[in-house]
Amino acid sequence: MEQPAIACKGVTFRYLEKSRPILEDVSFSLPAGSISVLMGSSGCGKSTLASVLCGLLPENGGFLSSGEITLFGKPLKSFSPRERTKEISMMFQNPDLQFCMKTLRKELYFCMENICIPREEMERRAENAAKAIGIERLLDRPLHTLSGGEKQRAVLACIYLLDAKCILLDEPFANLDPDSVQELMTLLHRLCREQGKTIVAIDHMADHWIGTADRFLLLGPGARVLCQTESLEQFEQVKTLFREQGVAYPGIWQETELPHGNANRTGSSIVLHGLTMPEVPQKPKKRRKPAACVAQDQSLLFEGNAVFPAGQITAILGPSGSGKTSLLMTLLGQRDYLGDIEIQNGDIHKDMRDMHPAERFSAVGMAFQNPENQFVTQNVTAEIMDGLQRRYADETPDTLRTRAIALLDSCGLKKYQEFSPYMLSQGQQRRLAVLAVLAGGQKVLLLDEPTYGQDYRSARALMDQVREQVQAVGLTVLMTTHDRGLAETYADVRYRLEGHRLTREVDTL
Amino acid sequence: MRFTWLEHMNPSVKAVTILLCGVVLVFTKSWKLNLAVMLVCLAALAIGTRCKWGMFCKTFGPALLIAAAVFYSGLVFGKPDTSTEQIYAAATMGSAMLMSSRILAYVSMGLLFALSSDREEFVASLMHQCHLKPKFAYGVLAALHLLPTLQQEWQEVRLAYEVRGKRKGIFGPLFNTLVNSIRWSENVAMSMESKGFDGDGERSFFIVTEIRATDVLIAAAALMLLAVGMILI
Repeated sequence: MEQPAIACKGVTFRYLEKSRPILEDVSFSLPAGSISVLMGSSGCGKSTLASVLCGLLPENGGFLSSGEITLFGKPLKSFSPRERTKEISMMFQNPDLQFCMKTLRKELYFCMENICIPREEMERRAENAAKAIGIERLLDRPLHTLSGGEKQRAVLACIYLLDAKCILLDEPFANLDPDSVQELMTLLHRLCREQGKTIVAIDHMADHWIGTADRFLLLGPGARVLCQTESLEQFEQVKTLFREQGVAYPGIWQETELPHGNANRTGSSIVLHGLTMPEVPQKPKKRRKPAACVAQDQSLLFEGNAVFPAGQITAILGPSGSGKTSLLMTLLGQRDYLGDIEIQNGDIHKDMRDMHPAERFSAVGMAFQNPENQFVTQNVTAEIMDGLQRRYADETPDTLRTRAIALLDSCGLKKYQEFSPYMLSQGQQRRLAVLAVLAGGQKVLLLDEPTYGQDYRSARALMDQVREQVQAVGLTVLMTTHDRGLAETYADVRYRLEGHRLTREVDTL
Repeated sequence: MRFTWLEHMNPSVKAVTILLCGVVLVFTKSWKLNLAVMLVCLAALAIGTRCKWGMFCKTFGPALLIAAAVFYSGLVFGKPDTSTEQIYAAATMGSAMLMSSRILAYVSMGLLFALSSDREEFVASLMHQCHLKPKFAYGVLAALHLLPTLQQEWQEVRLAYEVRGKRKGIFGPLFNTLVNSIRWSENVAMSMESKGFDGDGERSFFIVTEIRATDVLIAAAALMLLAVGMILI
């Protein structure tokens, strides 16, 4: 039999010497020159497994109490960091935190310095790598100005340059829109087929990988392999296993039909009249007059009209960079705009421009894309109670606490009630952030990508909670998402923001 | 055309020269010498670098203001109302001049370095000439390049406080940002390592800086000039 590219045998890993192991007796082997996807629910140890496979752990902390990892037959431990790079390199989940230099060109030089490539060759090699990945035009732009998808491709250029035989991807698409995912997928496919690279991806969604991947491994608790499938027919057979683990497969959202439009319609709706958002963001100031007009190609949205109805969930879809987040920021009063935004509650019509910030924030709540940035306390329960306090001002702390814990329980966060929000995993933090906003009692909620990085089970629980609140108290929810399946299941109204236009999507039945 | 000889000077040699001058200046007590040092620095900036007026004014303006404030307080608050008034008046005038001119001299020396050196070249030269370990050198660079992201983050955190109906204070958001930056540093370090970065191992260099004869000459000339100034003024 051919030498496997990566082989694990009985790997057990823990972060603290006496703690519960994160990885428990993990064994598998992946053949060279193929694309494998490791899938599992959030918190099952996928990311830890990736770092261990790459040799970054236990080198940077933790204990590998038993088991062995071999790369092409040689034990991983026998490589120095520099030699290891030639065997395996990794792309991380967060595109912002993978660079140490200012531009891609300098980052590529940094990579080459690491593997001792002579100085004279650097320029040529850097250009070649950029050309192979198709990002020559980004070489000299500051990295922090690139979009998420561009950053991930920049990382891929680095890995291509390092010429690693295995490429390990840790949730590479968590922050990307479907178009960028497609581009990256084509690239990865090409690297695998033309250059014989071994690609190992870690993901909680199977959608993107169908048709590209050669095999799927489903990981259970402790990252143990539960099953392995190599073809679509086999995939059908193990669907129940996926569902049990709370991992999404294509079509999982559509399997449950939810009734639409029976919501309580008493809340306030938002109406946009000819809304234009300039591309260059400016914080509105009282004295400064906004520009009299903005050309279409200098705007993200040009004279858009829309109604986000009361007591319903509206989803906004569209490619990244089209201005979905900017639209939410505008509704929150953080960006300049032309045209009018009206908040209608029964017969009361209020112009956004006339509202005082404090008044606006008591009417409109928002959960941001990055969950870590929005915690205002150091305790999970306190985080929820903070919102509840404003809503139920006359209740005792004890009843507030009971309410808070009930809310946490609905999204599987009850066992973390005494934790600091920073100790939760990214998916759990996101759920907590959305819950905290739900608790706040504002009648209009803006949710920016509430379910990215979530496995199916958590996304489902979170959206059910949002929906329940919408129906119970008549909230108006406006959410951006990349997940079409989710939008079709939960949203009553869908809009698409693309090419300066905001258009309503109609179900084709 | 503008000359750029100061920009080509080896950054480590430049830093050491300026530091030496700074140390020597501590032991002098002449405001005239301080002003002369300032003038020489500004002249060198004008004829040896491509620094822009806007940048210069932005950094030198505040220094002027501080110097003026120190001068004024030295002049006014040192004055007793006894019979020795005249002696004291002369003394306070002298010390006010000394204090404020010293600020100007040090600020212009700092500016001379900051506005004529490239950050990455300086770090490279610290590795080559001062044998700084790559671990620290690249650590500093990575941190510097994270600053724009940090700034963005800071604003987001503050907005989140506002949305949740909290006061926008400093300490709450500062806590969030600090916690996040600890996690970030871990992430960036892991990613650097997965790109083959080995803190102490062998590596090649794209920017190789060396000490040339002109660097030594300029440094020697600067120190000589200071010595001459100390004797004459």
